[in-house]
Amino acid sequence: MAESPFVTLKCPACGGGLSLREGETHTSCPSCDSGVLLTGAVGNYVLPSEVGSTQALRAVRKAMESGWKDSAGRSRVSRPRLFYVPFWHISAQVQGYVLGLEPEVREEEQPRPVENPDGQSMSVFQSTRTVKRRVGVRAVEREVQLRGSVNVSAADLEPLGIPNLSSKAQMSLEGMEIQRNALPEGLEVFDSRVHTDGVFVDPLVSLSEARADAEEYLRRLAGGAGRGLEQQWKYLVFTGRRDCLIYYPLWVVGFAVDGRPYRAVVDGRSARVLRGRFPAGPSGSRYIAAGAAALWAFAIPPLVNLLATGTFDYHSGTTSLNCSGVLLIIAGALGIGTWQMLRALDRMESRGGTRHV
Amino acid sequence: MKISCSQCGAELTVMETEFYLRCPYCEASITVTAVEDLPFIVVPSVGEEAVRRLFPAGAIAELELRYFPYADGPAGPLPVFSQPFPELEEYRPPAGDRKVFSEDLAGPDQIIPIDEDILAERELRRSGTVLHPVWLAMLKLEGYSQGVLVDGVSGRIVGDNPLEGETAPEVPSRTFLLCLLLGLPCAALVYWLLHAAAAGGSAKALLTILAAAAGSFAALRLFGERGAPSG
Repeated sequence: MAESPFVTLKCPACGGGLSLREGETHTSCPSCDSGVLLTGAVGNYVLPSEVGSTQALRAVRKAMESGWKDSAGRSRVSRPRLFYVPFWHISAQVQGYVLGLEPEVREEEQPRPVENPDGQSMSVFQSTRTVKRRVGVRAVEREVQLRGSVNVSAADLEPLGIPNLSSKAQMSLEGMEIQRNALPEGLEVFDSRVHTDGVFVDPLVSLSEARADAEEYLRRLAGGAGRGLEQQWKYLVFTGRRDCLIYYPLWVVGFAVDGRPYRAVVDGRSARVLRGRFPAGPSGSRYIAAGAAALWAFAIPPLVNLLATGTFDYHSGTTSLNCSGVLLIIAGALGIGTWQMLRALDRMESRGGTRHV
Repeated sequence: MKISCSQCGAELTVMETEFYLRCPYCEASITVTAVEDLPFIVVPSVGEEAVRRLFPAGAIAELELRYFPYADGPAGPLPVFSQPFPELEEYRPPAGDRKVFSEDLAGPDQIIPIDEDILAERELRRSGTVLHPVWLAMLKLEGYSQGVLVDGVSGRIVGDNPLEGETAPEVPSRTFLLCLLLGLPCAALVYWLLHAAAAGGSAKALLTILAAAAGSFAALRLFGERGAPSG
């Protein structure tokens, strides 16, 4: 490994170590008492939760009941937890030029042979078609000027079952008020004295990484100016960059049904269940099993009677049937069939049993 | 705060919570703190293979090692991070093989940032924190994915295992046997009573099947209410 590079935050006056709290723009040096003003500090904003813990629980309960009515009664719910998950909002102006070679095309009209109505001869000059012919290239310069903003997930949301937003991500955040580009409405400036409920998740993605990611996205967006150019060179400059951190509310509700743990994530703005696993509840297979049992309960007594007396007496009149052997073979086959069906149902039940949103 | 990358010179904006980061342009690892403030790091004693063995084959989509910061409190380790893992709230990690942090022990992407607010609240210093290894396994659960944490020292699952009780509480073959157990005596009783009374064939068949169905579905009701194992 290469030599370890160390960088320390130093007081510009005395060179002593400085400590700054997140969101703070000024501090004083503990060793020399001089004031230090930090420029370029990042603003933190919160999208406050409009959903209380009971509302979050109610949403989970409703989702549980929509799959299996009895599951809410059987569940053991743990206390819902509110997490404010961070997103970087990077906005920047992209200016620059795309230089490239534009193919020069000349359109020519060419005569097209058309068959005459008599079906025998061809007439050449009756119709023409347009043919594009490349005759050379021309150097062009196209100006790029756009203002764009990108939201990038600063925390890892995948363990909660929610996709991360980044320049590479294809998925959008379904059901959430924050999306790839726009700044969500209803933001409040983060103040640790006001916003006290919930856990404010620390960003795992550094601001520099988020900026690099946003630049890549905007570069791709600006690259649209070079459409149709052969061999292009891009000169792009990012200016007027503004970054902020947005905290988005998510409720995480854990519950157990019949000893099996489940988890659901509820949006803190719309009270919608974003992601979650829920028990699927009993299926119709229990009724099939009970019906089969009833049929067997019905069939066994006369079969026993048949073995004992040689008469099958579900038949009207008490005609003696001399085909007890055949009946027993049929019963045996039906028995094997029932057993196979039950095995198949068992396998089906062990596979299913949960559903997710 | 702004620093420049020691390898490529790019200007990086650094948050206070970051003591160790990766330059997004040249991938270099940069430590942004003084040597005496470096935390300790616990070397994981549980490998990737052991974690994979905890779950059924093919259940893990992704497996990553992360280091969560804990501070040494008088009553044991205290979590000094804010991350969306409810199961870590009450969890106290076991002690492990401690070393002073160095860059060859972990990458910047593996380290969960220290929450300075918690440190300040409890009047703790960053130099006293210990980075504890935890495996983050992304489990595939019937088209849904969920992250599960496994302690890197004890090798145990933190919190509940979502694959626990994977066999459904309902077993149709057991339902069948239970229904037959109650349905058969009912049917047999009616059958022999009618047999003794020398009733006609079709009347006998009708009454017997009614008794069998009543017995079986009574068993289903009984079974449905307390058949499933309680947690």
